[in-house]
Amino acid sequence: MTNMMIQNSIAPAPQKGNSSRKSSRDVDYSKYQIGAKALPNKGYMVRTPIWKAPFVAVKDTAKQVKSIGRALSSGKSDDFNIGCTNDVAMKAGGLAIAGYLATRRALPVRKGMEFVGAAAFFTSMALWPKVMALPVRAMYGFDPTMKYVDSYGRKKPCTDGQYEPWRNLMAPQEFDRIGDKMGVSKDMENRHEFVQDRMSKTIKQFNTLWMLSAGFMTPIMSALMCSGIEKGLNKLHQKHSTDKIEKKVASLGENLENADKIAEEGFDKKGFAKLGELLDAQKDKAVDNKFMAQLMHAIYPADTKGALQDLKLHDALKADLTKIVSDNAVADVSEFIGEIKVEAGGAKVELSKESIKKALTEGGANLNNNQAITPDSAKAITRRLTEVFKAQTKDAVKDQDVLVDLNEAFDSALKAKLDNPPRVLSAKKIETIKDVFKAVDAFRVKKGILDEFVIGHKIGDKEDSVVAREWQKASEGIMQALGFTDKELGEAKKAPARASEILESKMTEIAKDDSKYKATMERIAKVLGDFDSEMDKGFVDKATKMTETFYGDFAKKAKETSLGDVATYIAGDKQARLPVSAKRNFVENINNNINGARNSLYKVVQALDVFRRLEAKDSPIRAAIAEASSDKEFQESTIQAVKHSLLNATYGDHHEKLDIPEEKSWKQVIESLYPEKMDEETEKAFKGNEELLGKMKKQFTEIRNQIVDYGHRFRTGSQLPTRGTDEEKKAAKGVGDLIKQMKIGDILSSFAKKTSEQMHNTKTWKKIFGGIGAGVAGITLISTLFLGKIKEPAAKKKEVANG
Amino acid sequence: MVTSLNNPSGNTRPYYEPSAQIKEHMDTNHDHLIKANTINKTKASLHKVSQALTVYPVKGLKGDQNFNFYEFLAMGVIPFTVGSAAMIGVFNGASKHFSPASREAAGKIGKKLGVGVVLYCLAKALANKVVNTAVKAHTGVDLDQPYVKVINELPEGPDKEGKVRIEYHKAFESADFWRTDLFHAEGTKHGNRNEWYDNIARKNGFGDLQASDQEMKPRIRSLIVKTKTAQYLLSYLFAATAVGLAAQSPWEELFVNKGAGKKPMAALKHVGSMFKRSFAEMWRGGKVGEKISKSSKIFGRALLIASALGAVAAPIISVRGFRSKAETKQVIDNSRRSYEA
Repeated sequence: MTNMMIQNSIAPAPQKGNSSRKSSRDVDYSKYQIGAKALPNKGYMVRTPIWKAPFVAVKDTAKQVKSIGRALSSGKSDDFNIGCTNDVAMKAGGLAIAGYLATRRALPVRKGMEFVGAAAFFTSMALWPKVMALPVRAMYGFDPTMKYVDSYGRKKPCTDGQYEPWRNLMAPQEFDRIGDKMGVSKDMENRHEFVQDRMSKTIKQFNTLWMLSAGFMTPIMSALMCSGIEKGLNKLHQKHSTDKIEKKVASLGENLENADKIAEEGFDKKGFAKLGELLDAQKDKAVDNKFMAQLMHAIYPADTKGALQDLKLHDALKADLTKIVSDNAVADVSEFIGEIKVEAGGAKVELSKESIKKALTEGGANLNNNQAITPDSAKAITRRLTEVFKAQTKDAVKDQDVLVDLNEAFDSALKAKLDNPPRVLSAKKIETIKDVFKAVDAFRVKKGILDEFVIGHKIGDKEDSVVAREWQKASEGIMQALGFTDKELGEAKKAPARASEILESKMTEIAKDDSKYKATMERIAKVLGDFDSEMDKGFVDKATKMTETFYGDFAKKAKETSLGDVATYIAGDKQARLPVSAKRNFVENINNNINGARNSLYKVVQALDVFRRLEAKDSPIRAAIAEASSDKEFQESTIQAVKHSLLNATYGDHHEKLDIPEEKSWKQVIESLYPEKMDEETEKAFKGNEELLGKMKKQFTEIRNQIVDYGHRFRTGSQLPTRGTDEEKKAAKGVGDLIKQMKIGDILSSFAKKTSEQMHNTKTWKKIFGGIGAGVAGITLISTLFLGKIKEPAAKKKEVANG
Repeated sequence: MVTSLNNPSGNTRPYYEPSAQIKEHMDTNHDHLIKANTINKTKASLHKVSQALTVYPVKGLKGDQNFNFYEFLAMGVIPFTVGSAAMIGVFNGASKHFSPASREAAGKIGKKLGVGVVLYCLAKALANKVVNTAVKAHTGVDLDQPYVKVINELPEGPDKEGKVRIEYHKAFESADFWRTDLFHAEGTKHGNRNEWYDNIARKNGFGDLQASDQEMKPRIRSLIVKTKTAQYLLSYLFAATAVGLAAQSPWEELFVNKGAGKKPMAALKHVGSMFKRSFAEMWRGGKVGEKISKSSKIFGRALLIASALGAVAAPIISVRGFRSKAETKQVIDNSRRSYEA
């Protein structure tokens, strides 16, 4: 209708040449024509196969960036390109955010995830309409997110409901095909237009649905995407870092024979050159505190990364360097001190050079000539001179208050002199300091590799270390083996006490059922086996050897270069019976870390095994309890206490949790908690991995020995003497070790609580957002099936057919 | 009544002044400018948002023949707000199901991310405001100038009447087709169709021009292009900096009662202090008293400095050349047969 009216009001286009119709007013239009005509339409529909999309996106972005520059400099642009600026700026802003946030993350995977996050967000934003379009494409055979390129080469989406160039740009056959798919009657008049109207309606509805759902789907899709990618990225990073560090360690050689060579290669030439400059500038000159600070910084920079961040080592080195630098003999100490004059309360006392000299040489004392003023010698000199001074003032001054003041004044005057002994940097000292630098530097390189291997890679307290990763795997594996459901995880995470209750009921249930017990124990054995083989792989031996060698070498070098304090700190002092050393601490740290994790896992086996043996009526553990008392109530409560101690105490803590007054029965119960022979099914489960079983039993034996021998006394609170007979000393040591054991490993209920928490939180998160995501996606996708429905104009069709 | 032609230098008596009736008609049945004051701007955006949340989706879901591009774009507010809320939700929503300890840990991260989302939006708005305010002060052109667009919808059927409704647009929302006509129409009401263009020309030192509209139109077009481009760039720069600020540790204190009580002023002060400390932390590259990350320091400072420089540069770039007295290029290029829009 509208069309027809418009046609009426438009004059027919004048035709060139012989017109078949004569105008009433005979106007020669040709003389007004200047040959201008509309340019041919150069637009077309865009089809980008999905695999090409990324390349196209890059190309489009490059175009957009170019147009931004032009717009800012000349102000020449158009709405389309201004819109594109927004897209580019948004992506650039996203990258900037990811880049900045990445700098705030410590771990490489986390850094990477910031970029993944930004990319996932933009991908989701682009992907969601594509996903939504799938049902429409399947149903109607066209893509509601299609794009067209206009005559000026600008790529645009078909989102304007009032401007639909696709009606002209799509090939007519397309409308036939789409019409067929839509089920539009074949003989319909104006079929194409009808199909186009339905398409138009579909697109409008589709776009609205998109706007309604995108707000939910984009963040959720990107979050889910990220959590998937993070896993893969973690694996990749693990493999990469494992390969890297293993290669590095392997390059040290089987017996670390290449370590020195590698240290030489990594020698800090720049630092050494700097030190050389510093020393040369100060050569044969007096040294002050400012220089000492510079020297310390050159050898041991405060911002040293990783390897040498050790305050104690820093202090030891500082003390040693001070000694080295201060080691200057004074030819004549009395000359150096000069005369000392003090006065207080009207009294004046003078100590002349001569009297000082006399005091320092008197009675065969050799305190005057060629004396190096070290803290020790300064003490001796002070002591001697104070004696002389006191003797002199005692006779001269009677007033006690004045005497005290005089003494004080003398002390500080002398101290002021002795605290600043002449420190001249001789050539010999420079050589020593350079040697110190080399020794420290070699240690820095070696310790760097060791730290990277041990702390950075294997047992570091960070989430991408091997122990953290394997621990998580193993702990989750155990919770799964014990059959924790989602609901139970949710309960157990609330508190250790709640976790303990659930554990108890689960373990009792498993222990009762033969086949269940067997299956569970086999799974746990496998988890343990995996953990053990992944954690060990000769790691402890290798790390220990590296530590012993590197620390040992450094200590030796330190002694050679007069770094006494450093040597003692690093390797201890055998003569002074000082076994504590950085070396020993490091090795112990390695063992504690691995044993701690391992023991927590053994504890699960132990608990389940004891639960199992408690179920058997004639088990030795029940017999031991029965022997302690025939009172049924006592027996029951003791069994409960055993269970409780297994779930809520560390190994060494059992002795406190088990309240059996009589020592013999107490020992029997404890012995059966750490038996020579475990339940038959338990041992069977470790078939094929006897080595692991052996390790576990060895650990049990050690604990058993300590607890059984000394635990009961400790429990009853009797004082254990630190001095006394050998027997008593041994007992004291036993308790000491016991306390140490107590610290290793987690208690079972808190282990279950923490693990449940982690597992359940991840699940909760996925449940909530996966749920919302699935809900919105479901509703949206189903809705797309109802798009673009228009009733065919039946009457019109008939009329046309008749006409 | 025709008295004289438009002659700004001499007699400015109108050559035509419409009657009161026509003026009223112009203000109701035709697209017309409305005063660019806060009330009108707020009214316009409230109208747009409320329609986008209620009427437009219904129309769109029906596939209504009158569903237009404005309505589609207006609905963009839905994914923007829902998306922001969902982001905050993704980060914070699950934590109430966590145990207290992990709730606290997750809360700290979630808070910062939540603040990030909010600051992201605020920073974008701020960037636009900064540039627009400066441009308006310098050139007199208020790029936020709203107008009412009267839409005569197509009737639903042969014997039905088409609806008449209004949309709130901005006169300068398009660089290609900015509404030159509305400024003429507004002037016409006062008897000088070039009134607004005259004012702009005078403000920018062109004096009284014979045809101020011809001189000003191309300038305003490139002003729109430059300003919009600069705004987009600045707004995402601000947004990135805002998210960076939100990633700093002081925001962990948000909603933690630090003796501030329930007094709104104290709470506001606390937010101010968190802002201040976040700036300091971002500048420093790490928490005070903790080891700093060198890359974080460099990147953080780069963002802060770039934002500060950008805030100055964006308005300057936008208005550059606007007052240039260089000979106006001829609008119509006779050698060409067609023009790009």
